[in-house]
Amino acid sequence: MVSEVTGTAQPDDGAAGGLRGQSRTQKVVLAGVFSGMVILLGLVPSIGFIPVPTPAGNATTLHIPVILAGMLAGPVVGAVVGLTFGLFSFLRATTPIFKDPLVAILPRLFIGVVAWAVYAGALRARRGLLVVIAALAVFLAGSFAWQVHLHRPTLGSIYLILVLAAGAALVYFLWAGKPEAVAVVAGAVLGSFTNTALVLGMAALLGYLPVQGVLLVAITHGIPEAIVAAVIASAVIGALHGTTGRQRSDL
Amino acid sequence: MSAAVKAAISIRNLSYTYMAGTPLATPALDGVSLRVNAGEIVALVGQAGAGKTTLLQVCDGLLRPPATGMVQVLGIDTAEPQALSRLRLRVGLLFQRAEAQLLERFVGDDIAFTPRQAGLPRDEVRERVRQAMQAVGLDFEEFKDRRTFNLSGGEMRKVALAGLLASRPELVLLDEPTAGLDPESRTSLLEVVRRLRDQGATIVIASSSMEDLPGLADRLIILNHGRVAAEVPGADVWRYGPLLRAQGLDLPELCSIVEHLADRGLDLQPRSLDPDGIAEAICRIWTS
Amino acid sequence: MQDLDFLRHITLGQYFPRRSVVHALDPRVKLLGVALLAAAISFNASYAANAILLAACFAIALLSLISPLYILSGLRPAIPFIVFFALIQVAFFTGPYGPTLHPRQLLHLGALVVTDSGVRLVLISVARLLELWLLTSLLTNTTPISTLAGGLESLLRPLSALGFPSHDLALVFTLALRFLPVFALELEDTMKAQISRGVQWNSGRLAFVANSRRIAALLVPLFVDALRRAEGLATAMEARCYVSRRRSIGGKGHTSLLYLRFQARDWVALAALSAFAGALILCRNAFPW
Repeated sequence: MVSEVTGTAQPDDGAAGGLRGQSRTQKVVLAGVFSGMVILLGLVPSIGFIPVPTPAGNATTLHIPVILAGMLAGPVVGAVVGLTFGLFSFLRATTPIFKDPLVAILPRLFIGVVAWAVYAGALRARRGLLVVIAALAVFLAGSFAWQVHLHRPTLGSIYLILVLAAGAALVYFLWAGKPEAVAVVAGAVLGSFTNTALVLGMAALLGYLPVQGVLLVAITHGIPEAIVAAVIASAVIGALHGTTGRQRSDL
Repeated sequence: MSAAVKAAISIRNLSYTYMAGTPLATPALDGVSLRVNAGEIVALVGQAGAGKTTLLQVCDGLLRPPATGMVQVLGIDTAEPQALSRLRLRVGLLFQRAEAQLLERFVGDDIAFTPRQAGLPRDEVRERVRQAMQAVGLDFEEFKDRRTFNLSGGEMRKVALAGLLASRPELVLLDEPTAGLDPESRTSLLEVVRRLRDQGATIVIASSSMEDLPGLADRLIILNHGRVAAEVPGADVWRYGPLLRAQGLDLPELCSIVEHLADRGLDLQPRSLDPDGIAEAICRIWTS
Repeated sequence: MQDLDFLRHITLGQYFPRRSVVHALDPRVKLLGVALLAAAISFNASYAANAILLAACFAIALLSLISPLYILSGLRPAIPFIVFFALIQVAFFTGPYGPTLHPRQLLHLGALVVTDSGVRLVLISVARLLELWLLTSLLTNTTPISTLAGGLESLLRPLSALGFPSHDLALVFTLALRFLPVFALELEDTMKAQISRGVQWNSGRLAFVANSRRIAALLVPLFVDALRRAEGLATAMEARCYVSRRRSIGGKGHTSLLYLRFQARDWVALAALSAFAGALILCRNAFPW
C-alpha cells in the first residue's frame, strides 16, 4: 500500500547523495557536468539520435540531460543547461530555422524549468489531483482530436483512438504507479513537449513554417521524443535513487 | 609447433591507429603478427601504452583493423561484421575498468546477462550464476541483490569476472586483471585462471607487471610501442633478464633469485617458477 | 555502431593555426565582431544588404587565410534539408516580408501560393545561414576554445558588478568542455564492454523503445559517474576556497592565466566592424530591393 506523498522522495543509495539544498559551487559544477553531457550527446551520433518512425526520421536525445538537470538540480541549473543546449544547437545548425537564436536558444531555456516544476509538483501533489489534471489533459487532447475528426475522418479517428488509449494508460499509471516514477515520467514528458512545442511555435511565429504543418510535426515527432525522454530519464533516476523498478535481481 | 594444433588467435601484420584521418591520429599497433594456440595461457606484457589493450579489443572485434592486417579469432575473421556477434558469445573480455562492464542494476542480473542472452533456461542461468559467484568468492545470497553501482572497486571486478565465467567462453581475454587487487584477491583470481585453463579455455592476459606471470603463462609476448619486441617461454623466463630490462620491464623477484644464482654458477632448474617449485629445486640441490 | 573510436568526434570547431590578421586579434574583438555582424544580419532583409554582408564574410575568411568555400562545404550534407524546408516555406508563406509592403503573387496552384515575399524569405534565410555559418566557423577556426572562453568571461565581467554571475557561467562552460574527453572515453569504454557482452542494437525505427533502453543503459553509468565527479569536484573547489557569492572572492578579483590586452589593431578592427554593422543597421530601410 502506498501512502500519499507529502514530501520529497529520498535517495536510496549513496550515488546521488543529497541533491537538494546544494551550495552555489555545487550548482555550478552540476551545471557544467550536465552541459558536458549535452555536448557529448550532440557530438556522438550513435547516442545523440534514435531512429523513430516519424517523418523527421530521428529523435534527438540532447534535451534529456537538460530535463535531468532540472529535475535533479533545480530550475536555475536547468535553465543554464538549457542555454548550453540552445547555444550548441544554434552553433551547429545547418538549416535557416535553427540559425535563428530566437528559435534555437530562447525556447530551450524553459525545458529544465518545466521539468523541474512538473517533477517537484508531482512529487508533492496528492494522487487525486494528478488524476484530475491528467483527465483534463486527456479531455483537451480528445477535443482536439474530435475537431480533426470532423474535418478529416480517418486521421481524426486514429488520433482519437490514440488519445483514448493514452488516456487510459495514463490514468492507470497515475493511480497505481510509485510517486517518484510518476513524477519522473511526467517531468520528462512535459519537458520534452516544452522543447518541441516552443521551438516549433517560435518557428511558426517567425514565419519559417506554416502553422498547420507545425501542429502535425509537433504531434507526430513530439510523442516519440517524449517517450524516449521518459524511458531514459526513468532509467537514470531509477538507478540513482533506487526507487523505481524492481528492488531485487530476477534470479 | 605442429600445424595440427588449432590456433585460437591468428594475427598477421596488424596495424591500428586511433582517430585515423584526424590531426590527432595516434598509432597504437604497428605490424603485429602473433599466434595463440588453443589451450595456451599467453601473457601480453609491456609498458603502459604499448598497445596491449588495443590488441585485446581487436581480438574481440571491437576495433576494426584498417586495410592492413588479418585477424582471425576462433576461426572467424574479424573483418566480417555479421560473424562478430557469434564470436562475442564465445569470447570473454574483462576490461580494465570494471565499472564499464556492469550493465544491470543488480549483481545477480548482471552476472546472468550473457547466459540469458544465449537463451538458457532459468534454472540453468541461476546455477551458472551461483557457480560463477562461488568461483570468485562472492556469496550468492548476500550479493545477488546488491546494486552494482554501490560496490567497491574490488567487488566490481569480481562481479565482472563472475559475469565472464558465467558465459563459459572458449577464449578469455583479461586486461590488467590483477591491477590494484589485494594479495588475497589476486591469489584467488589466479586460481580462477588456472581452473579456466583446466576446463580447456585459451587465455590471454595483458599486464604491465611481470608478477605472477612466469608461473602461470606458457608464453610471454612482449609489446613495445605497438610492436612485438620478443616472445619468451614462461618456464625459462629467468634466462631473459637482460632482454626484459631492455624493454623497460623486469623479472619478478623470484625469477631474479634464480637468475642471480645462475650468474654465480648454481643452475637451479626449478620445475616451476613459483615459490614451491623454487624451494623444491633448492632442497634438491642442497641434499644432493 | 560501426565506429567506436569516439575521441575523434569531439573536436569542437576545428582550429586552423595560421599567421593571419584575424588569428592575431583579441578574442573579445572577435566575439563582439560576430555579435555586431549577427545583429546587422538579423536586421537586414533586403537582397542588397545581404549581398554586402555575404561579401564581408567572405572577405573576413580570406583575411584569415582560410578558404570560405571550404568552410561552406560543411553545409553540403544539409542541402537536401535546406531545399526541403525552402520549398515548404515558399509554398505557404503569404505575409509581407522585407522592403516590399504588398506581396505579389507569382504562382498559384490550388492551396499553394508563391509570392515574391515568400521567395525573398527563403533566399534571405539561406543567405543568413551562409553568413552565420561562415562567422561562427571562423570564430573557432581562428581562436582556440579556451581562449574564446577566456575572452567571453572577460567580456561578461562588467556584468558581475550588477549581480549577474558571469564568472560562474564562464566556469560552467569551461567545466563542460573540460569533461568532454573524459565522458567520451568513458562512453567508448562502456559501449565496447556492452557490445563485447553481446548487447544487440536493433536497427529499425519501430524498435525505438528498445533502442532507448539500450542508450539508457549507456547513459546511466555515465551519469552516475558524472554526478560522483561533480560531488568530488565541488568539494575540492570549496576546499580550495572557491567562494561564489556575490561580490566575493570567486566573483571578482580572481586571477587567470590568460592575460588579454587590446592592441592598436584590435581597436582598429573593432571600430571598423562597429561602423560597418552600425551603418547597415541604421540604413536598413534605405535599400530598394
